[in-house]
Amino acid sequence: MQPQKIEEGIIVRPLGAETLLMHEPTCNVHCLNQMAYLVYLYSDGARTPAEIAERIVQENGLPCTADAVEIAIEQLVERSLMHCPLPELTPERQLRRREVLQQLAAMMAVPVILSLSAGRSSAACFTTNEHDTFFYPEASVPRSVNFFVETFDLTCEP
Amino acid sequence: MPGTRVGRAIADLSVRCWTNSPPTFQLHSQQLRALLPAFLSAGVLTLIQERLEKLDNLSPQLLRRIREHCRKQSMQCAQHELRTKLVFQRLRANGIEPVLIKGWSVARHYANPLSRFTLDVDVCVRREQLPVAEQVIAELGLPFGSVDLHGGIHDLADRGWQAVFDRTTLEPFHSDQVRVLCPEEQLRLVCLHFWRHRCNRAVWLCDIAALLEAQSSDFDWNLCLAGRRRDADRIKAAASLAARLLKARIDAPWEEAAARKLPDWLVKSVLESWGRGSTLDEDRLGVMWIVASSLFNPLDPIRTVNRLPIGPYHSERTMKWLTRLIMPAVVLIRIVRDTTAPLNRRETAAVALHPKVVS
Repeated sequence: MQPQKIEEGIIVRPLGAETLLMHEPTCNVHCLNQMAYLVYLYSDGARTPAEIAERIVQENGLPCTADAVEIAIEQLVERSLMHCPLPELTPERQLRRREVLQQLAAMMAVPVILSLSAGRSSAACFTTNEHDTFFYPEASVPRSVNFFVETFDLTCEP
Repeated sequence: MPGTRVGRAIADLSVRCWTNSPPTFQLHSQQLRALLPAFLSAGVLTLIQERLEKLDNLSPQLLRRIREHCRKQSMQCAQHELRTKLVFQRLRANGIEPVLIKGWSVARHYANPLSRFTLDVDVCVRREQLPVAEQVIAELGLPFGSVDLHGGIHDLADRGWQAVFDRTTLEPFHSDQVRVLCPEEQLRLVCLHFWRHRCNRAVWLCDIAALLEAQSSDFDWNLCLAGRRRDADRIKAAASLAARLLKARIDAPWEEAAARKLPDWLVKSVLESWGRGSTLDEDRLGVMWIVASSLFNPLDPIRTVNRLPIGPYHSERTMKWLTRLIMPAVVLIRIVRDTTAPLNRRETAAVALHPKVVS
């Protein structure tokens, strides 16, 4: 398992302590906390999760394990930000993952990614000849992500 | 808190928020909690987030709530940037050269462009190209309301599309280029837009301040102010207001005289309108409330300036009489005219909005 980050069509922008990855082709925007971003940054297709974790600890002084890196990789692959064949999610793996998340939460080292996906709609735009119009876009952070963050009381800061 | 006091608090906390300057205020959690709805509806919360983070007496829960809100808004701004690029690419591929107004074209003058929240992408095309542009953007399938397409440039209509277009410039934008207004017309548009929306969002005054400070030495004030005198007066008044309330630095020959003339009723009305957002706890409703309250408030002197062919430089007494006597008559005449005309303006607008449905 040697993850390879996708760089084509991705714009990286710092946002305070976090980092935004803007995916041009889909107009999706992802906000990565420091841990998730470091995993993305060090995934060059040559390192294993254990090696990435080691580098994060050595170079950034953050508590990190191979399990944390794997969780970050799963999220990054799901969002098409990384190439990596993922092993099947068996019940045993699910249980293990839950335990790992609890441990990481205690260490404040959970990799978190919040995503704003580009919604689709048949009514695409509001055209006005004479007046400006004032309204909010429909886009919002997916409910499942909010639920995860609220349930585990996680913020995006490490 | 009364509206003017809330408005004053918004102004004080937003002083020079388009720069990286440190906070010049102290605030407690309770005060901030009371002011939060007003900040949200004024659109300045993201701009002052970094300053709030530096205060040491705010509760972590409140800061976390603010951080989450600001993060979401910054992500939406980033998404709008991507959409801007996409819209420009598609329109150009169909032979249409659009002009970006507001949004990123103003946000780029902020120290952190992602902190300047934008609701949508405002794109202007030549009026004749509007039906094609509409179709091109519809094919993109972007979320409803994310692109506001204009035929011509409403606030610069008196100058003509071609003249304005000839002065536009191409600016680098995410490995591509977008066409934006020249600085003089950008400032003119932002000031007149601020007036047209009854000065009711503090973030628009921050835009004016940011543009004033981004001026180069060859900024042509004659080009910016050319045209009707009342428009020039509105631009000067908006700039003076930015200097008075937000401590913006103006480098203009008329600056001192305009600052002296700035009417007190204007400062008071603007602060009141900013303070109106404090009554609701939801940003979306807050904005709607501000729009609704200013739509149905015929005694607003800013509305009087917008509706009558006058500039803002009048005494409080004159404005009071104009607002109380002439404005109700103007509103009445408009209602009669709109209800009796066979094809009134609203129907014309409806045809423009939904040509296929109507035909």
